[in-house]
Parts: sequence; C-alpha cells; structure tokens
Amino acid sequence: MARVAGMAMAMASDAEGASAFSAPFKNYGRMDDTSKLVCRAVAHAVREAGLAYPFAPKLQAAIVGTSDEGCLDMDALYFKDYVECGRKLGRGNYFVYTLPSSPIGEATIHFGMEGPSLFVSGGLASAMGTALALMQDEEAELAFAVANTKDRAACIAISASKGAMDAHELRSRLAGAANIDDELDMIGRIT
Amino acid sequence: MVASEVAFVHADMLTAYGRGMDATWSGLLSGRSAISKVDRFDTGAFRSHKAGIVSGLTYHKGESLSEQMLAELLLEIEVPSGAQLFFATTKGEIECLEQSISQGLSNESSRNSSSSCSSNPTHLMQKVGAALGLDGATLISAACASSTSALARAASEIRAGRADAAVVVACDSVSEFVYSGFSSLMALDEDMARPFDKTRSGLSIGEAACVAVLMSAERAKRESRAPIGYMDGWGMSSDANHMTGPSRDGRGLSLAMEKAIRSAGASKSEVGSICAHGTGTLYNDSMEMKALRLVFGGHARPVYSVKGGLGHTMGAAGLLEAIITLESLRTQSAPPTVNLKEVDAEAEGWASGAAQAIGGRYALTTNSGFGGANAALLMRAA
Repeated sequence: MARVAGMAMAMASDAEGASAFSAPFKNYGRMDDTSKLVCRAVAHAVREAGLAYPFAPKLQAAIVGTSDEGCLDMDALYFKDYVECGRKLGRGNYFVYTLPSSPIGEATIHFGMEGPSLFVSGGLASAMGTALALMQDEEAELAFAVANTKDRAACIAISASKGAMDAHELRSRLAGAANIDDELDMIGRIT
Repeated sequence: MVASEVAFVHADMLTAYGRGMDATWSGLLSGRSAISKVDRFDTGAFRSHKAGIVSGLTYHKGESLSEQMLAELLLEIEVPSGAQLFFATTKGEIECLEQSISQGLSNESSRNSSSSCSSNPTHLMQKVGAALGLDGATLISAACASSTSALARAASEIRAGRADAAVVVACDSVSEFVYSGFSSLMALDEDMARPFDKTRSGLSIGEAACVAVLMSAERAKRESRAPIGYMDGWGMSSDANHMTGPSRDGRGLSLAMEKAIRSAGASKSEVGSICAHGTGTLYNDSMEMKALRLVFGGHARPVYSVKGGLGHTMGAAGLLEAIITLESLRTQSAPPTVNLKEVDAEAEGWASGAAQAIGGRYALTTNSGFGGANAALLMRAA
C-alpha cells in the first residue's frame, strides 16, 4: 500500500524564486536553473503533503529524479565557458551541475533527506516505480518522485499510508503517457 | 513468496590494467599503479597530468571512448531472455559535446539522440540495449555511486520477483570535460591518488567499462549458469550535507552500510572486509573511516581501495569494485591499496599497502558521490 501524500508543480516562468521555500535556502542563488526548478517543485509537494521542514532529525526520505535531457544545458554551458577561457580552467560552480543527479542532490541538502537519491530515465512513471520499490525495500519511509522539462517540474510525495490517491494507480496512469511533457500535463490536470 | 537470492553469473571489465578480472586483479596484487600520463588532450594547465587510461583507445575519432571500451565486453555476454538492462554512467559520450563546441558547432547536434554521437547518456544506453537485444532499459545516475545504485536496483527487482535476470552495464571515460572539471575543484592529486595515506592530496581520474549478469539463484540453476558470487544486501543513502564534500561525520555512508547489512539479514561480525570508495581525497577517506567506525566500532577488518591502481572510474566504480570484491572473496584476500605507503592514523589497523588475508562470510563494497549520494553492497562468495 502506498498513497500519494502530495503532488505539485513548479513553472520556470513563475517569479516566486526563493520565496517558494519555507526555510532559508543558502545556496539558491548559485544553483543552475534545473536545480532551482526541481527544488521548488519539491517544496510545493512537501507543503501539499503537510510536512514541515527542514526535517530534524533528517528524514529517511528517498528522492528519484527524471528528465529527458538530464544536465545537457549545464554540460554545454560548462564546456563552452571552459573553451572560451582558453581551456585553462573550468568553472567549478558550473561543473557541479553537470550531473543528472545534481538537482536532487540539492534537494536532499535543503530539505534534509537522508534516503536514497538517484536519477533514472523513463519519465515520471519510471521515477515513481523506483520510488515505490525503494519504499518496498524499506530504504525509505517516504519518497519523492520528481520530473522536469526546461519549463516545468512536477513532484509527487509518496507515503506508506497518508493520502487519498493510490500511488500505484497514479503510476499506471502515467505509464500511458507518451513522454514527460504528457506526464506533466496529466499532473497539471490533477493538481 | 520466498525472496530470491541474487547471483552474479557473468562479470567482465576493461580497466587501465587491461581486459578481464585477471588483468586487473594481478595488476592490483603487483602493487604497481596503472595510472599514467594523459596524452589524449593537453593537461598543461592543470594540477595533474595523469589518469587511469585504457590503452589503445582513440579520442575524437570515430567511435566514442565508451563505445570502444564496451564493444568487446558486450559481445561476450550470454544475454538471458527477458533480462532487464540497467545502465550506469555519469557522463556517457560527453566527448560528442566536446567536439561540437570545440569545432564551434551548435551543441544541438551533440544532444540530438538521432545523431550517431550524442552526449545524452540515454542515447548510449539505447545503443547498449540494441547491441544486447534488450528492451526496457533504465539509466541510473547517482554521481560516483551510479553503478552501485544500478546493482542495488537490479538486485531489488530480482529479489522481489519482478524480474529473474538483469544485465548491468557501466562505463565512464577520461575526457577533457571531466578532467578539467575535477581540476577546477582542486580535487586531483598532482601525481597519483594515495588512498588512506597520511600524505594523500587528491584523486586520479580513471576510465573503465564493466558488465555483469545477475540472475535469481533459481533461474541460474535451471539454466546451468554457475554463480560466481551473490549480492545479499544493499543500501543507499544521502548525506544531505554538501554538493561536493562528504559529511565530516560519516553518518550518511554508515546509514547505507547498515541498510546493506540489515537487508541481507546478516550480522556485522560476519563482514570480513571492505572494498572502500577510497578516492584519495583528504575528506573522503577520513569520512569513510569515521563511517566504518560508526558501523563496526573499533573492530578493525581489512579495508582497501583500488583507486591508487586504476584511478577513480566515476560511474563505473561501483560495478567494477563489486566484481573485484567477489574475486577478493573467492581468493580470501584483500588486494594491496596501491600507492599507500604511510597509513593515515584514522586508517591504522584497517588499510594496508600490502595484501591482507580476509575472513568472514561477507564483504562490503561502498561508493559515495557528489550530491552526497552513498551506496553499499553486501557480497558473498559462491
């Protein structure tokens, strides 16, 4: 049994910025756009799930991210900058975001999540499937599945018992979507 | 439903020491490092000029480094019907993007998965899936714990009965992109990584490709595939502390190790050795020793790192080290930690520059990465 405890979206065009967070976000300004977007979606889902953060003690929560393009924008930004600087020195603060898992890493730090954090391919249905498996394996007591495109991100908080919707059922519905954009449209209609 | 045992029935690797387990194992036992001077791009501006390079690969000509490394390994896999594919990498074919940008082209061609060379790692995964005749692949990326996490996911699917076979493939290569990036973070040792050494000052990048076939013990028996070892437990965690530095207290990694031991139903006293992440950075190795003490108290047991020998192979490190751990269990010996001359006080009595005899039913192997990702696997000999 797993329930959807909270579900929320964040749009890149929203002007909310760091005001989306209910606790100070020390490094928000230096993060890449994808990490900002993903963390905002997680903040909304945390709130929807009725959770207060930062979690103290840290929460045994898993977070599974997914997107079609991972960190390709940051890859290009980092390497262009490096080439333009004469191939002598890369910019460390760009390099840090050249991993598909960087946005969820930022989320674990800000919210205080000590469970597994990983990026998977296959869209939100795949991320939810991984999150549900992690809960079944008792790797986490709560899990977040988060998907993003350039323009928007959706986050689903999954709990063992709390929430009106069956998480497996939502995952099955998402699995019928053609791509992440369709999945996010579906979540947009529900939320 | 009775939970299935998860058996390794095939494992192969290509590292800076050469092709196959024997080449890597004998290289580690020799105490000689395979880390050498990088000549595939100019390292003149960087703090280090060395890496764990696989010989004979061509750079920015024809196939990507990952494709070249994987080619032979994939050919020799006897792929179980219906197997799930888990593919782990951090940067995949990033040299496609390097080439586009260096040539002043738009990076659109390098990200387009319909082009022959794409820096999107799912493109490489699709090529691997096609080569193996497998659909339904999943890319797993969790920084330097990517393939450790992929193994954990594959094993979870088998133990839960959602699959009875999985192929896990991992690779990462030494590119100008990653080399310059780690250099920008001042993470590279000027010479070679010296894990757990008092004078350690950074890591050495390495490259590798590895493959493993996992099966439920029942299917392995039914198909007469002799297990080379078992993975009985796994655990993953996050430090929730810092993007590039490990938590100073080792709590995050200790959680992953505790989970791995618990998920196997094992006791700590049964763990006889640990293949550590052991990057050679000041903070990583210190954090790991703290984590080991949180889990095992003062009860020292052999700890080793392979990264002084073949470099830090990033997303491939977890699978590579899991296979090495199985060989260590089979031979009941821990290889020397290459380049370890003077053991740091924190690792005294645990790590050694010499081979060590090991006991115990299980061995742990652990990895940690950017974003604070940790993963631990509990391995058992066949």
